Amino acid sequence: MPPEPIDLIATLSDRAHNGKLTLPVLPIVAIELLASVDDDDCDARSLAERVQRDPSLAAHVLRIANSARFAPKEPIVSLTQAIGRLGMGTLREIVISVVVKGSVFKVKGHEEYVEKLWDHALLSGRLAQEIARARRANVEAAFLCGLLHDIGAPVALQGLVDLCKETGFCLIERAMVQTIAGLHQEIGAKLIESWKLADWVYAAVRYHHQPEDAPNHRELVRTTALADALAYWLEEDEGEGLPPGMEHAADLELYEEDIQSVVERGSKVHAEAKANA
Amino acid sequence: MTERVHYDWVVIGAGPAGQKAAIQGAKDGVRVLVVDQGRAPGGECVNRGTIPSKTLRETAQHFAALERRSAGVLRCELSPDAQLAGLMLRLDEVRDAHARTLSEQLKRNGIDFQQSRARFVGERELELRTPAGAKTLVTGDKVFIAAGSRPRTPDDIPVDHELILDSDSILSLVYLPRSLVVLGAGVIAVEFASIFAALGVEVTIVDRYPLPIGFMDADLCTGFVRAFEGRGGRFLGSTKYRSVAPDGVGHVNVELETGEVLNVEKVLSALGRVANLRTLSLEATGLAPTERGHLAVDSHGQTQVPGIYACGDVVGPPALASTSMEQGRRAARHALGRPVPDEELGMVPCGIYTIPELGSVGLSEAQARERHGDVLVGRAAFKELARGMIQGADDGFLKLIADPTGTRILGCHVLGDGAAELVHLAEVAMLGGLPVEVFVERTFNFPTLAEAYRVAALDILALRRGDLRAAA
Repeated sequence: MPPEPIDLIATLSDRAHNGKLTLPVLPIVAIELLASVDDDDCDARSLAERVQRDPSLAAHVLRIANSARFAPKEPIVSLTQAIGRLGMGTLREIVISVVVKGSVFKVKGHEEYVEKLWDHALLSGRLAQEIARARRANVEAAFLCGLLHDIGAPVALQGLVDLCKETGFCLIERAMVQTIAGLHQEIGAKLIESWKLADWVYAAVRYHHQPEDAPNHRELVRTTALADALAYWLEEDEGEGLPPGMEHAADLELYEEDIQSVVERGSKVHAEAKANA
Repeated sequence: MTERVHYDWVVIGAGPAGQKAAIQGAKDGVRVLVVDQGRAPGGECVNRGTIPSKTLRETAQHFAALERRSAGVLRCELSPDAQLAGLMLRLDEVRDAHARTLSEQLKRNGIDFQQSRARFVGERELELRTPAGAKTLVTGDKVFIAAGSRPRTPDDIPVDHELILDSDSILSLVYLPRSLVVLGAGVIAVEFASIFAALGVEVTIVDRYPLPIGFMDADLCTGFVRAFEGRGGRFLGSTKYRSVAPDGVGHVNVELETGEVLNVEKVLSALGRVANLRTLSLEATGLAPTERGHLAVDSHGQTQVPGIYACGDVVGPPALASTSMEQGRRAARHALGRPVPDEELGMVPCGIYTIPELGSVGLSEAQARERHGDVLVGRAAFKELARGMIQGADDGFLKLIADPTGTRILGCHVLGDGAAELVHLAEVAMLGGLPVEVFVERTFNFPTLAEAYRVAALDILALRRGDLRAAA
């Protein structure tokens, strides 16, 4: 007999509220790094020491430092050398990206979908960074919000996969996409809370589809929302036609030409980063 | 088709100058449109300038005063992860309230406000473009350019708003840096330098001139440097930078011409501001900026093109909120055909919100000596006043400058808490032509810092008597 139909969104939402949804745990090095955005206590040496504690992470960082993007004359063999070549900011971004991707953006059986989510997260981060630069707002905070805004999506997907395994349902794509769309903000916010990240990251993750509801950090939330919309536009429509997200432009005090240059710079940086990933 | 509208007046910019011009016109029955790039009136003053920096200063000042006034009993130290926003908790509240008041003021006076970027397409015809791209053509019988200014970024300083910031982006830092180099020693530079120093940041000011804020009385400049260095800051005067560049490991190297390299966490580039004229397409009006990038105007704010006025930062120094408001008001009155004084703004008091605060009105000692010869200078140290002792105002002083007969007040300069307020007393005395004696013969509240006037005036009277005795 086929199992009784269930409301996926309601069930998963209940699980998230009751603490029954498995939230990924980040390696300590990642938690420290996420908490240290723009924290001047986190200097080059301590960052190298932290990364060193995770050998696979260290190897990944060295691989990127030796990639074509940075084209070292001599091979880079140590993390300290890598920091010298990449710069602290870039290194911190690489480390954060690697650990978040490795810990959250992996769902067995849905690799292609999750990879797409990850590309979107990275592009949103780059665009948010450029929006912040154009507005003379905090660039690093914007990158982190852009990168993490949809972090609830892979967690929701993992939850769905687990739920289907338990109930014997077969997950169809439309239901999956709908459930993720309906729950990713809520679940992402739970995750950010459990990782004890700053309240501005929470606001961006929780309210990026309803910036007007954000109780605080509204400009950062709108920055994230605009980056999210622009990233989809570049990915789905290849930047054809008018850019979306203009409803945020007035609040962010950005005009068409500003958004145009944000898109150009963000896409360029993203393409470079992708080529070297 | 693009919509066309006509107003009696179009005001570009909703900062202090634009607001005052608009309100003055509206009160006289003129139909006014105010256009600003921002979403609400206020300009840079509300969003990135005066209001945010003064909100942070308020916290920094209390922080510095707490330790000083407790005579070292309380040691204050911010935790390394203290967020800058946490030190400006009331900022959103203050900013929203201020923006709301300004919006209501415009509404109450029947003034229309539009968030748009403006550019001239004719002498008194403008194209307005909203952030979403909608266009309107608007004509005005009179146009006021009050578009404000933005930080100047020299080509050799790679401002990225991450490691190297300007005065607009410095307050977007999430955490306080441990070390900061401030390039420049003008008003904005010294205000931020002293605020960050009071919050425990290692601050170094680098400037090509021997003293900061060179237009102020030299005693105020040296007094500021003494107080700043007393709080752990470092002032490198007569020093030029050779290069400014990220060091690749999260810090910035500032190489000086002396060969010294300062490796710091953040750099603030505060080397002046430039007028926001670039996007206005001024060529359509026949106007051109001066060599320094400002608009030339007469004492009524009139440009060379009849019917186009300019006021505020776009016309150049002093570019203070207070003078901008007055320029806006005067330009509007002239446009209305109302009486306006022919002379320049004349005596303008100046308040610099450093820690400690600086206030100034009238002539500096050097200017007074140049114009009047052997002027008499009376001084009062705050630490010798009851109120100053209570406040622990060790650095504070007031300096009163009188003409060589010791009668007419020519200038007053104050360093210390409330300096910007205190100088108004001298301003009113000067405007009223009151003699120095007025500060001796009148009663002041006790204990207040206003007593400094009495002490400084007595000093002048003593000098005067000494001079008379010497003459006899």
